[in-house]
Amino acid sequence: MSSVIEIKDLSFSYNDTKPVLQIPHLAFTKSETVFLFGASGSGKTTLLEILAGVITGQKGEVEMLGQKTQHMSLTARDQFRSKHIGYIFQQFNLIPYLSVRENILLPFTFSGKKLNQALYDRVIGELGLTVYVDQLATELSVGQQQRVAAARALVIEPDIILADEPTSALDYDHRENFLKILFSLVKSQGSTLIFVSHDRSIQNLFDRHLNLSDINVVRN
Amino acid sequence: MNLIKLAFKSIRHRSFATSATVFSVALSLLLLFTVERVRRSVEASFTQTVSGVDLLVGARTGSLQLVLFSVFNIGQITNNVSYESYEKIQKHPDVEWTIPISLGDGHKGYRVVATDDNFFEHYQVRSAEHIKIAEGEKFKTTNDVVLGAEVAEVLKYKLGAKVILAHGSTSGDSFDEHANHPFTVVGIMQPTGTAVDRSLYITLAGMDEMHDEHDEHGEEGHEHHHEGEREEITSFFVKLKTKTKILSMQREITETKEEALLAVIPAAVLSDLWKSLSQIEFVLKLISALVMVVGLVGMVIALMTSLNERRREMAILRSLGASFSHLAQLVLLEVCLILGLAVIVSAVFKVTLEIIFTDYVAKKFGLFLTGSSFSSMDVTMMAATFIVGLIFALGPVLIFKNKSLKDGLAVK
Repeated sequence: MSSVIEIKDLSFSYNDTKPVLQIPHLAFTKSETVFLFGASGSGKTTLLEILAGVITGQKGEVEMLGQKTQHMSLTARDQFRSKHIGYIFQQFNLIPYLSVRENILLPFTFSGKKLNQALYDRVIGELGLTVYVDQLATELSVGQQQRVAAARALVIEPDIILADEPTSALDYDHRENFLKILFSLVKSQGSTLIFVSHDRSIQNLFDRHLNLSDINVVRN
Repeated sequence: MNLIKLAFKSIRHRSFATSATVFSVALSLLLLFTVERVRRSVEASFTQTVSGVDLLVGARTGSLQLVLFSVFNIGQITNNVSYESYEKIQKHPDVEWTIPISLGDGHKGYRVVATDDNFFEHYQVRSAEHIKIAEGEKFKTTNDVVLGAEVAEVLKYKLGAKVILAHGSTSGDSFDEHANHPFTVVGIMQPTGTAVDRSLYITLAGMDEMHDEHDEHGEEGHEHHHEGEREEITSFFVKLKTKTKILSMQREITETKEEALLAVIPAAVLSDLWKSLSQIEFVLKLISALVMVVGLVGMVIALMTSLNERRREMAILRSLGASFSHLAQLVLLEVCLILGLAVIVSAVFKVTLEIIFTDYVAKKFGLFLTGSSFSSMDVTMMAATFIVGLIFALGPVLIFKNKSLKDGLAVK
């Protein structure tokens, strides 16, 4: 199976000092679900940001969907991200002055992509958000906000979903429910899911488990 | 949803900070408007204190001196015009009418102007307004006096009041009063916002009589009058039948052999004088421009603070695919909305304040808000505020560019 993401000899450092991230080789395949964990400071968020194209490594190659993102222009990387990547944060990830619907549709403001209305209806239906769409994002509970963020990442039909501890704010029941829906949507869309979490109890749901401390040679 | 809608929702979300910024820019703009309005009105009341006359004629002296003394009662003129010369010019075929004025007496700091009916009929202030009597009527007999609006208001004179005029002095109380020739107030004029408000008007014959009686009862004889026939007046205004004759008439009067006379075009002299005072105008404008800059700097500071607070929000937008150019557009659209609101608010304030205070300002300061509410200068200032504000806003946006890219998506 061909790689959706392939990293070769990637090196990243803040302020040109000692690198915080050095990865000789790492690849993800299509429709793969990956559980990424590691000690605090092992560079999990940094890796996600590099994959999202928000920052770039100083050395090495990152090939995503056949494109070398390290050498793209800023605008091209922004475009690439808005079309292909769904990003789910830990929390505080909604724009407070927009309604639930406006938050979910926000990526289309920047990407120029067409909304798949059937998918939108299905996503908000399955995530149980249909009755909340006209409320302000801040009026929802933390768990509901987390689901809005997931819906926002899913409606753009992303090839890759990057999730940074998306269940940290959820209690056990909500977490189970959230993961079930996330996995069902990921499977039906054929997206690649890279899921960062400290919560090892859920790792068995994923195809692959990666300890970043093992991959990141800076730490060894 | 487009960026304009997003910008609108964003500033509405921070409505308190937004209204404070809008208010501060609007107030700065309002100050600019006020300075401009006052400047326009002062200029109008200064250069249009006398209008509708073509020439001012007096004994030969400086032209500025003649105008200042005849119109504003500033300074002194030593020589008068003989009544004979006045009558000769009055009868000149090109002359439509004349207004004689004889100065020199005063009352409690206000000057007394002796003139004739032509003053009420022809004297115009502020482009085309004739003198109007608010109460009573114009003078008829030698004992009648008509008061300027300010004189009546400040000295609290009503119709029928007796007024004693002071000889040879217009400033303060004089010891040398024409006590045996009291005048009766028969009329009070409407305010004009010009020197007319600060004068008392009597007939030429009234002044003659007063001085005659003064001499009879009196102390030392004085130089400008003798009993019986009127000999001289201070100066007079001339209106010609056709404007084209102004220059030739001016030359003719100036070249009179019998008497050394000077004829000037008052509007031109006043306008020249106003231009020489343009330094003050410049300082006023400079101060208001600085206030505007302070207002806009306030806006920039508010913008910096809000951008700092909104780093998380901006990071979210970037994670959703917003490029830096999207974010810059968003912020500048917000600034446009704020500046647009500020311009509208200041214009509404301006119009409202003018409606409320026009009468008060006219009464209290003698300042008439003439002309249209918005001059081309006002429109320029609104446009300049908008453009300068946008340029100022570019600073924070560019500083923010580096931050937004370095920050990444992490919660800081």
